[in-house]
Amino acid sequence: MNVRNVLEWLESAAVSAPDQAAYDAHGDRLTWRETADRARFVGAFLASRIPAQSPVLILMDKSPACVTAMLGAVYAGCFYTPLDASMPPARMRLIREKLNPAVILCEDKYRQTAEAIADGAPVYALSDLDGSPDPALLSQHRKNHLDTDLLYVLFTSGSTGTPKGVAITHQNVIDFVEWACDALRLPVGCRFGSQAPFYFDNSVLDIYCAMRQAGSVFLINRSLFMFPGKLLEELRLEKIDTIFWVPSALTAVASSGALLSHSLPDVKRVFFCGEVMPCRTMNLWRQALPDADFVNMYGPTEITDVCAWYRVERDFADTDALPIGFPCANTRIDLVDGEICVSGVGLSPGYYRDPEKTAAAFTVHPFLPMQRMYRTGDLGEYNDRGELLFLGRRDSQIKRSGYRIELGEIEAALMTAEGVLDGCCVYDPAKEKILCAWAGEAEEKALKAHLKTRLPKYMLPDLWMRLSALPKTGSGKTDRLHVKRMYDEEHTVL
Amino acid sequence: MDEKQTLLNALREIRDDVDFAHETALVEDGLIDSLDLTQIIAVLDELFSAHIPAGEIEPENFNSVDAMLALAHHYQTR
Repeated sequence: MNVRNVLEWLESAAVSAPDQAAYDAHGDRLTWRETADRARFVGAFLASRIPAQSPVLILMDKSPACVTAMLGAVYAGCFYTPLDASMPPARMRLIREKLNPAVILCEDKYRQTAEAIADGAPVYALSDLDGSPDPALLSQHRKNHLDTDLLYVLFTSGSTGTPKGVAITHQNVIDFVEWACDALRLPVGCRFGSQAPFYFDNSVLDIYCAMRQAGSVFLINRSLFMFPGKLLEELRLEKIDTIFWVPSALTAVASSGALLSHSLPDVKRVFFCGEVMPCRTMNLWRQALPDADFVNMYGPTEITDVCAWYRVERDFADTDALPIGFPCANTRIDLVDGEICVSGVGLSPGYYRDPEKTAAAFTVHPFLPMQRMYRTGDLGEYNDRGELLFLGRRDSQIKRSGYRIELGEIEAALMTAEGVLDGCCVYDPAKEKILCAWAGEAEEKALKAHLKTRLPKYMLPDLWMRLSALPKTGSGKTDRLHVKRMYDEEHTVL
Repeated sequence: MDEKQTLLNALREIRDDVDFAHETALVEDGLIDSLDLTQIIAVLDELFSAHIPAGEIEPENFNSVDAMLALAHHYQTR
C-alpha cells in the first residue's frame, strides 16, 4: 500500500478492527470506528470554516478526545499543534504568535485559557461542535492532498528562549512509521503504554504506529509515574506489551525497586529515546524482562522523532555507554567536525514561519550539493564496532581553564556511582563552575572519590547538591535549568 | 499550633500556589509533581519522624493534607 496521508491508516484500522480499543485512558475509551467517526465530525466542522493547511492549535489534556481533535484537523486538510495547558501564559502567547492559528480547539475547562491567548482566533470547545459531516467537502480535501502537506507543528524550546515550531509533513511521518513498525517488529494489535505528552514528539511513534498496526494506545495518567508500584500494576492490568518512554521515567521505576516486586508478563518491547539511557537502568529492566526486545533510539524533533537506533543484543556493564547505533532506513548520518548531521526523508521542511532559523539549522550537505542536511547540535563518535555514540550537546560542551569538557561525560560517570539513583551536571559560565546534582543515598565525599577515579581533575565538579529527586520537564526529561535555579535559590545570600 | 497547621505551613513552603488546605485530589488532578512528592515525604519524616517505606507510597495517601497526616501517624516512630 502506497500511503500518502496518515488518515489512510486510520480508515484501514476502522475497517479491520472497528470495535477494538484505539486510544483509551483510565475508563475513557474510543474504538477505531469511533475515533474515525469523531475525527471526521471534527474535520467537517473545521473544513466548513477554515481553508486547508491552516494551523489548528489544540489545548486539551492527553485523552482519546484530544486525538480526535488532532485527526479532525487532518481531515480538514489542516495541521495541528498540541499545547501544554500547564505552561506559563507568556510562553503560550509566544507560540500562538508564531503559529497564528486559524482556530483554537479546547476542552471546556480550558476555554478561559484559550480565550486569553486567542487574539482574534475563534475558540471552540469540542462540545460546541455541531452540524453533520459533508462527505463531498472532506473528499475534495483528500483529493487535493499532497504528502508534503504539513501534519503537525511541534514547538521546542530554542536556546534563546523563543520557541521554534518544527513543521512535519505527512511524508515525514509515513516514512518514519513504516520504518518503525518494521524495524521494531511491532505486531498487528500491539498495545502501547504511552508516557509521552502529545506536545512531545515521542508520542508520534505511539499514536501512529498503533494506528498503522490497528493496535491500541493506553494513555497513562501522568501522576502514575510518581508511583512506580501502581504504575507497573496498571501496565499488567491493561496488558501493555510495548512501552516507549524517556529514560528518566524508566530510571525512576528501576530505582524504586518496584521491578522486583511486580511481574510484567505481557511487556515484550521496551523502547527509549529523548535522553541518554544509563546502562544501569537498562540492566535492571533487562533482568526483570529477560525476553523483551530493548531498543535505544535517538533523534531531534527536526528529523521526525528518530534518526538512529540500536537494538540491545549484547550485555553492557553498568558503566558502559549505550550506543545510539545506526541510521534508520532512508536516513544518512554524517559527523561534521564531530557534530551529528542528518539527511533523508525524515527531515522537517523547517521551522514554521522562521526562515532565518531554518536556514541556520538546515543547510546544504557539504559533499552532496543537492541534499539538505540538518545540524543537530549534538556531538557523536563511532566506537570500535562502528556503532554511533552520543557524546552530548554541542552547547553542553564547555571550555574551562583551556580544557574542553563534555558535561555528558561527567554525567555518565556520575550515574555509575554507587547510591546515585539519578543525576545531572550543569555549568555556570559566570562563575566558571560545574554543579553536580544527584538523588540517592550517596554522600558527597564518596561521590567525589568515585569521580576522581574516573575523570581527569579538570573535569571534576566544583559544586555539589544532593536532592531528594531531580526536577523533570513536562516531557519527563531532567530539567537542568530548574536544577541550576534550585542551587542558586539555595545559595542566595539575603 | 496543631499538627495539621504545622504540616500546612510546611506544604506552603514547598508550593505556595497550591491550596493544600482544601484540595482533595492533589495527585489525581495533577496539582503536585514528583519533585513535590519527594519533598512532602521528606517533610513528613522531618516533622513527624514518619519513615515511609518506598513500596508504601500510594497516590491516595497524598491527595489531601488529612490523608498525608494519617499516613504520617501510621508510620510514626517514637
